[in-house]
Amino acid sequence: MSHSKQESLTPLSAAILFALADGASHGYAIIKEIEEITHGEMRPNTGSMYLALHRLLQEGFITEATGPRDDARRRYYSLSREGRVAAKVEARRLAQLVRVASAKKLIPRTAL
Amino acid sequence: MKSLALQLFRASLKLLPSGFRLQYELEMEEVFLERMRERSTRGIALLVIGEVRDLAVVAVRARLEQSHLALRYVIPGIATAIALTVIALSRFAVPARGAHEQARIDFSAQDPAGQFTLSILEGLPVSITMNRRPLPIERVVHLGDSIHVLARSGKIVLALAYYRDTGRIEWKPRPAACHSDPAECDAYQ
Repeated sequence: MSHSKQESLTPLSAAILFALADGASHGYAIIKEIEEITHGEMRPNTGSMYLALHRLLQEGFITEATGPRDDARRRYYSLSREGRVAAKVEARRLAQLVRVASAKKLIPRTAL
Repeated sequence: MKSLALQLFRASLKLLPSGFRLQYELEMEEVFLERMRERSTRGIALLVIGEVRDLAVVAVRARLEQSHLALRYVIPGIATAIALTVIALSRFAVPARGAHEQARIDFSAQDPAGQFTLSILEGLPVSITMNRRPLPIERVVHLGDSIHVLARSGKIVLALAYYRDTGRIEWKPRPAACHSDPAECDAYQ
């Protein structure tokens, strides 16, 4: 995976990768998952969400996946191998930042 | 309210680049409908405002990305074209410049059958006259160093040798018997 591709991950792109870590999902479910994992702090609008999905598809971090048979009107997306690696790298980077922020007492104990 | 919201959303989708819209429009509409279903009337109004504003920004971003992508491919394309042109010019134009004086040759001669002219441009015959009468250029056959002018019957009325590298032109004089109609006379029977 190229360094520049990893660098291009926006918070929304990273959240999408995290949301897809459990398996393939469609646009609306991804939005709901992001709202849930960020405790409502991130509520992506439809346009931003699809622009991010489009970029991730172009960069090969996600791929189109087959959904349930009775759900043909939705397109499903899943993490590619490269996307999973990118998600792990991003998660490690964030964890490191959190450790530093915590050591510097920038995060209230209740938030952890 | 829901129908008005949907109309506004659909109108805003038109801001997106056509390729992007074709790919995601239906899906985005479906997501928007689902988000509307979980909201009250006031919630829908706020949702539409947010979505329309977001789509305007996304449209600009998507278009910028498209032009950036286009530039990424167009610039190397232009650079390649320039490089190939330079190579082509250096390979083909330089010899032509060296033989600049032979780029166009207007050759005029007289023999017992009369006067004729032949113009050669970049090594190729482009016009011919016999006794000041132009002949169709289709009647001039150029093969290697030979240039033959043919009669309508297909017989040779004038045979020339053209040495492109030196620009020298030689021809086989036609007999006086061809003077009356040099364009149709079988000069070398």
